[in-house]
Amino acid sequence: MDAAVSPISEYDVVAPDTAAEDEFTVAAAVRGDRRAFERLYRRHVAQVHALCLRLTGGRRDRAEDCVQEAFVAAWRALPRFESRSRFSTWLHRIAVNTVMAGQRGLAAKLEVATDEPVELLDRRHSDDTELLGVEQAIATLPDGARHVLVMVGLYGFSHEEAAAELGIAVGTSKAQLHRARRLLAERLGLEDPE
Amino acid sequence: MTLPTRPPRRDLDALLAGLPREVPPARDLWPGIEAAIAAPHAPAARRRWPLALAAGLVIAVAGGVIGSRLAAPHYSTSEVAPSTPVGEPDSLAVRSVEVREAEFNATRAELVRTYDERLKMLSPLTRARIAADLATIRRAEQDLRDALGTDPSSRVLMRLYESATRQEFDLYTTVGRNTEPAAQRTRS
Repeated sequence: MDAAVSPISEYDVVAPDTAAEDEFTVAAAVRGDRRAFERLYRRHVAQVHALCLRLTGGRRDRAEDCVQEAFVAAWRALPRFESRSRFSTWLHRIAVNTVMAGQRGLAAKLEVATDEPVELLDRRHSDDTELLGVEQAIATLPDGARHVLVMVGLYGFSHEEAAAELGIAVGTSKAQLHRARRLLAERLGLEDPE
Repeated sequence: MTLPTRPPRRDLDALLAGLPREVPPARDLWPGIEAAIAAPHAPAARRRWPLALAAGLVIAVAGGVIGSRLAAPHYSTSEVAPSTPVGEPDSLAVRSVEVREAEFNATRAELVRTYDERLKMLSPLTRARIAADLATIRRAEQDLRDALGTDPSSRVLMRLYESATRQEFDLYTTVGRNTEPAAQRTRS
């Protein structure tokens, strides 16, 4: 975890995320062990929540719904999980799919009037005002630029993976990342990052 | 003289790298997940239940806001939330579902009839905007009905369906309310 962050939560007590531990736990969960799946939830929920929160522009309610849907979808898809990929990578892709499905479905548009963006991080999670400013700036990026920045710039998706998940061309993904970085630099008063 | 102790400005990559990759949710989401994965996939015969429950919730809300010209169903809040668990409908509950759906459909039909009447009193531009909004809402409802058909135990989908239906009812009642003076003039 980042040194600048000082979360105080139940999540501190869970075992560190390692691929080996996941492999063992996933195998148990595939056999229908719900306690094993809960361990996976505890281990990964903070990352999945952060991803959903950033993709939804800091909308906590929608992010929490997406987290729940993503884990339920993951449980149902576990028998199809191929252990040659990391569980966390697979889970993140499910989370992205869940967020995008919610945005493609018109239901999300109906929520616009009532679901106000909120601070993505509060001071429980970070006392670094500069980072809070970055989070706010990311949250207010246009959707397309924000999605690519979060996926590629923060969570290590390749442009090919991001393009596939978002249903856009690879070139568009690259252009959106460039746009996101330029907008962020402007909003944060930084020099042109390119 | 002491210079301000503002930290040196970092570049964008450093700022992005400094963002936490983990942000715990404000509440424990596991109980909802556990309930969803513990529930058996609903057989086809039970799939109407979530829709009917949403309809029951919406009709209760609609009943409170519909004007005197429209028939308001007599539901109380306690009737909206059934005591029978969703996964175990008994015969009484099933009958109640059917009643709710019938009432819901009747209320909606009456609202739509009034909406169609009143819409003609508005300007073409306003009519077009309202019709576009209604089409959006109805498509969303259809999306959600389809999704609920696949995953009838999803509370999230049910909440969204309820929200969409509420918006549809709100749109009808808003049109009704805003055209009431003109309608009164026509009647008198």
